[in-house]
Amino acid sequence: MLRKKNGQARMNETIAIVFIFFVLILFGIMFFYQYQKIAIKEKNEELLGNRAMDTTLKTLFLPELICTKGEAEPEDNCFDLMKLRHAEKTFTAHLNDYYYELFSFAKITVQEIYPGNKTYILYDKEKPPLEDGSSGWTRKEPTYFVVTLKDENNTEEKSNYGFGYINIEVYS
Amino acid sequence: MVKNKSDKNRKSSHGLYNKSGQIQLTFSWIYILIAGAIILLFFVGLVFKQQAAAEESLAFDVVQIMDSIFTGAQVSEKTKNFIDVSGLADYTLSFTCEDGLSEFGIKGQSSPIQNVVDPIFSPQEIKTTLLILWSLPYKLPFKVIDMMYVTSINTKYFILGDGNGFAEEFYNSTQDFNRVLISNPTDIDPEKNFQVRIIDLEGVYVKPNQLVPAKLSLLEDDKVTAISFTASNMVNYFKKEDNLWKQTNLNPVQIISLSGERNAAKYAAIFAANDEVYQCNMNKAFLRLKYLIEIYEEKAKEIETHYNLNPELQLNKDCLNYIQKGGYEQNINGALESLKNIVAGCLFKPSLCGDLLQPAEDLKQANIDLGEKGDCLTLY
Repeated sequence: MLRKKNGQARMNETIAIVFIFFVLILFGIMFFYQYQKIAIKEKNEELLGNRAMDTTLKTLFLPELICTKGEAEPEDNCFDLMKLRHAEKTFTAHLNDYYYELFSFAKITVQEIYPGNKTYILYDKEKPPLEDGSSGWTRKEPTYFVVTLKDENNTEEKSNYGFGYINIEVYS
Repeated sequence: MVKNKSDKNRKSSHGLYNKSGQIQLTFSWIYILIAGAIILLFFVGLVFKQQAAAEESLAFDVVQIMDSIFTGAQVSEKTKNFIDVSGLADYTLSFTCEDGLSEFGIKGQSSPIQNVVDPIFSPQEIKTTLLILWSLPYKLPFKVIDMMYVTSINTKYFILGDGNGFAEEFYNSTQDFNRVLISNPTDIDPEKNFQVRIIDLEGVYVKPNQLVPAKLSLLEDDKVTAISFTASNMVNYFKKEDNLWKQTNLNPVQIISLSGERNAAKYAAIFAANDEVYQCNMNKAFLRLKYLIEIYEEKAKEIETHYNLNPELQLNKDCLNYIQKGGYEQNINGALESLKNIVAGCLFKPSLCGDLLQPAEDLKQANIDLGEKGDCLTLY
């Protein structure tokens, strides 16, 4: 009787050890899962930030927009309004077959501040909505950069410089 | 007697317990061993999985960072960037370009970066501690794209011949690169470099089925390549095969560029691994040219409208004749139209790309005339 009780106690002890072991493993897995979830989220945010910077850099130096004067060096952070006014048409016409590869899911806007206040939407491609109709993107990272806007189409034929800013929003 | 019997019973039952205890003990140990082995295997498996995941993650991180560096280097044209990659000294970076799609990443790892827009000219493989990045603007005649050159400190360039002064220009513009001017192929010594590229500017030192310089025979075949310039901006690519030069291109490759210093397309030919990589990346530039022409056509129309609406602006000028097709021989609209038609064909048949040069020259001249002779607004 005593031996039987002894055996039962040992069995309970073994079950308890196995139970605790699996509970510990479960805790470990849960902790690891949570850690990975946070790490992936942080990584995605970092990648989105990098993409925003890369897209800004690419846009500022686009041959489609930059101010040039013959063989001279292009003017930094300057957009030629005579090109800018027509770039939207070209970007839209070749959005899926070319410019998407350059800008991915993003919205690029040039906002004139002086002398006018015109807004030029150069590129706009959002992530397609999900099957349930909700938005396809969860986060967007805006980046702003001040640019000069050169307009030669005036009666004085001078390079009239205005200024504005470029707003680049990338979607994750 | 009874006592004896009970003693015997006790003895036998004690033996039974003994045996049962022995079996239980043995079973317990086997059980512990199996369970221990399974747990150990689980953790060993986990470690291997983590190792593979960490390598994948490293490869991903590296290519992402490289992509950002490349973007920065590409837009900062004419600037050389020396990137310390000593942490990646054991890894081989690979670069390919096929059917208009470039890929770069760590050799043998997945997740390479794919790029269909930016032309990147580099050897097929780089294994180094110092990466060299350089970019030059490609103009035809307006700026089309920044061409990116990727090489390393242990990729040695041997410059043979003068090439009408190009040898000196190349040597001077590639300061701190691993390059040397030589007058004789026998002077070629690869030393401890990872790979070598011979630049034959005269087209006489490297010929098909000719013996490669003796000291290069120790290097692996794919680590020895050559480019040979023939007449009027044509090049042939060679690689070492059984100590002989083997030409990799069937027909000479034409360098499509306007004359001038720092000829981006010519430099690209030197840094490109072979003819396929060169043409694949040049095609990206021509595709961009196609879209840029559309924007410049619109700009030309706006300039034309500007002068039509304000005739007083060209009282003593001759602006419209430099723009309109019916005007001077070299005019903006005519040159842009020719460029547009030729680039469309060139994208499908690379042999037609050479025809881009004439309208590009015409456009360049028309733009100069517009500014200098006409004192008018220029196209670019």
